[in-house]
Amino acid sequence: MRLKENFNTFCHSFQIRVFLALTLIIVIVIPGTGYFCYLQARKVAVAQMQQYALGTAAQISKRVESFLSQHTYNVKLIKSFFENQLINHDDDKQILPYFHLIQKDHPEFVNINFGDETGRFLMAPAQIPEVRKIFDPRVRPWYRGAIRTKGIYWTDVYLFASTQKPGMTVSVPIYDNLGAIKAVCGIDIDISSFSRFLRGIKIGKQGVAYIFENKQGRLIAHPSLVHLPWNSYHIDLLRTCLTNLKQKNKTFGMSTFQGDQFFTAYTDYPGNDWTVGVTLPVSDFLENVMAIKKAIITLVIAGIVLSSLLSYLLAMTIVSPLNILKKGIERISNGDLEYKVTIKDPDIASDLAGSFNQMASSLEMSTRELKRTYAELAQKEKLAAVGQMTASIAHEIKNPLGVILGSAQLVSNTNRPMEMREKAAVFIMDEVERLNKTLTTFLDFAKPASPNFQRINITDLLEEILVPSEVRFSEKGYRIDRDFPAMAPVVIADPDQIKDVFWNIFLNAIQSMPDGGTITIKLRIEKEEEVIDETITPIKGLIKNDPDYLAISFIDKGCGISEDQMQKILDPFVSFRDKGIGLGLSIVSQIVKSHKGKVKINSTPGKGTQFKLLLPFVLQENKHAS
Amino acid sequence: MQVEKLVYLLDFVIIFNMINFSKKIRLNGMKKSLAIIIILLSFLSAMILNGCGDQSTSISFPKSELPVILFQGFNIPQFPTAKGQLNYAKSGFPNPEEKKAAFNVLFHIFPEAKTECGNAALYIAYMNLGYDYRFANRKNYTNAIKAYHDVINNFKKYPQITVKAYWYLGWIYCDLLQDKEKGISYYWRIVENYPDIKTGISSPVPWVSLVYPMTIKGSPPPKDKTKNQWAGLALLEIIRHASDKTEVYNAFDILWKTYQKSIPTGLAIKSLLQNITTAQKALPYIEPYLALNIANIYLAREIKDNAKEY
Repeated sequence: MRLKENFNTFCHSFQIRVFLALTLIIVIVIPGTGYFCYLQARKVAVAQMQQYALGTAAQISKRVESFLSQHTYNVKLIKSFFENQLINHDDDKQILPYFHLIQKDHPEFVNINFGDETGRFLMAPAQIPEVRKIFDPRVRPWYRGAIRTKGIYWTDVYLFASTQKPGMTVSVPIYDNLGAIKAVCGIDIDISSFSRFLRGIKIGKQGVAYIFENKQGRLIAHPSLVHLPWNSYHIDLLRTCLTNLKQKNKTFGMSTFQGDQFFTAYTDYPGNDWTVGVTLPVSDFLENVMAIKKAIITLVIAGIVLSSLLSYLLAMTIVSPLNILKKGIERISNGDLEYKVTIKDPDIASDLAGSFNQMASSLEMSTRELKRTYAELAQKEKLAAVGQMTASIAHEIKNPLGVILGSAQLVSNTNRPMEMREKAAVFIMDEVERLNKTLTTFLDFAKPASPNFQRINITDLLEEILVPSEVRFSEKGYRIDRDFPAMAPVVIADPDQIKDVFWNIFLNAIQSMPDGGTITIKLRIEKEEEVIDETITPIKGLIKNDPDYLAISFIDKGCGISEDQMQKILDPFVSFRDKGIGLGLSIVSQIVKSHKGKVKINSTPGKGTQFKLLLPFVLQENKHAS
Repeated sequence: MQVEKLVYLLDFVIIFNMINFSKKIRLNGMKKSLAIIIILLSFLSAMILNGCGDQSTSISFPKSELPVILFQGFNIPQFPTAKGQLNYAKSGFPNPEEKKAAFNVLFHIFPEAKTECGNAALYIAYMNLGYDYRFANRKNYTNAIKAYHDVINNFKKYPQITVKAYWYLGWIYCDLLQDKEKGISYYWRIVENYPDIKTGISSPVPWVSLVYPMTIKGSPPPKDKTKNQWAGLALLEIIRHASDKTEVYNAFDILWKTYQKSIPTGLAIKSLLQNITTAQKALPYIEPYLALNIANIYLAREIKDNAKEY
């Protein structure tokens, strides 16, 4: 969870988001393009490979066909010599020189054979004598094949004893004038020339072309034929590749052999039941594609590095006007309304700066206008307050003055009995005292004294009020409940003013319960967030880094305050009792504000009221409340 | 491969720590961007190490890497075994002198391989008869005879060599020089002294095991496949060339007794039947021989056809 939060914080950075947006586009687009190019290159290379491999196999097939056709023609030519009686087939001494001459022109003719139905046999060059003594041509495949097919016959590939090389014999029957077979003529063809031909075909670095005969699955031509062992990895590999393709009925494809991958293409050479194949390792063919891949990776890396640096610079360019604006906002927030933002970029950033400066100018003008209006309003309020206060004073003074006037007239009337005149004098003194008290209250409100802050123990201060009051009001049915914490809370406040606040609220609670009742007084320490509500702006800063408040609540179960009364209860000269002048709670509010505190009133009509005073709390002393 | 794994691991550690401690280390946006670039680069480095390091498959086919020896003016590959060297010499050469050099080099490289050297000496002796013995002259015959005598003298302890030299001497005298008596004398020496030695003619080697070194694993060595003995061939030639009926009969008796189940015996019966003076000798042996099923259909038919006349 913590990692997730940190990740979110990390990602929500504006600069990071700008940078990541740019970088991600680059990282996705450039490698994506590179990878697409690589795939295309690979696809083209595979297609070319297929074309080349199949083309090579077809080319080899044509070469083989041409080679075999040539020898078919040659053996037919020899046959025609005999049949046209250019050579007398009964005369060995005539046949042999011809054979030697033909062989001289065709070094690929390993042997030229002639055999007839009597078992007579001629060969050029001569057979070794120990073989010749027991040799019977009529049992040889080339002889029997020609007799059986009555035409051109190609033997399977076999090994010539005389040269130890692979080859085939092409044979043809020789007919007499009556159309009967007189003899068979054959040529032993050395097909190692196929291998020599294949050696000259370059197929990648390690690719090979080869020919398999399908009857016994033997390899008959291969660039390294004479060096290949009987059973080896190489022959098995080629055989497996061909078998895989033939099973899938494909002429080109990829096969896996012992963990390595190979491309193979083949074409069948139907006349001799051969398969001409071309095989090369995928890695060999991919070498060129790998070079493309490496080049693309290098370009992609270079592109990403450069683009990342560019996006870094671009992010800086985008963010720097915002930073300048941020600095401007901070300056304006600190009251420097004349500060102007300067951005030289000739685009939206410059427009933004212009708009910001215009906004700052408007704000400055509005603030100036607001101050002026506020001053005027304050002046008007002041005059209204003076008028209201004057009216209240006049009202409060008028009645006592009337009493004093009547009493003075009674005192000055010597005809009145002395007792009555003395009583009138007492009235005069009482009313003067009342006037003095009223005027003192007015003075307190009109010109409040500056608080004399000092560390005070709230519990002790409360007890100074509660102890005598408890004695005084208990007879009238009032009870006081104390709900104080064990630790004595300490605030910095003016003790006299705070005492007045407590006394005013306490008397309000007493007055709200004319028939007596319980008044609960609570002391609590409350956190800042518990104190904040939408209607009251917390006053902080008396002592920094101290978010706690001391809450002193006076709770009664009296008549309560209606909603309408609640709106005006802290206004001066508003009283909901007959004898009040309506300044008590106004003075309370004034004192609490001067102490950077707050007043919260919760009341339910008919059920009771809670007055909560919130004073900035300083510390607790390690002393139990008394 | 280990390096890029380490780089990947390092990247993950850096990213994890960067995310986890970015708040604590109070990186501003630009520093974070730089850190991302560095991580990106290290990822790419790992990609390069990984992506470009593909190993290509190697299927190097065996090439001819035999050392070459310059001998008698020819570059001749030097095989690891005497057998391989002999097979190479037996293969086709456009120039007979090169072929002779290929045989001669055996004495130089493998002097201790007496059998192969003896065979080489036999081939060299045969080459004295020229490209085709049917066109050989007297000088060729003389040289060949001398060479075969040298072989007999040099390889006395190797009967498979000397027997072949004797047989060739008999053949040269009987077939080429028409000195039947001398030639037959050589054949009788074989019958008397080398009755059990097989011819080993043309010893066909297995497919594609042509001229490669014999040491390559999996390559079966060439094997001589023949049922014929030099003595059987010699007796056949005695029957064919001898004018003395007693000598012919004697040779046939030995052939029948010792080499009954061989082609030369069938050919000897055919030869006896073709001569009116000796045909009677062959008749009792026709049926038993044909019952052995050794003769091919043509030989069997010819024996039967010839026998019908008697």
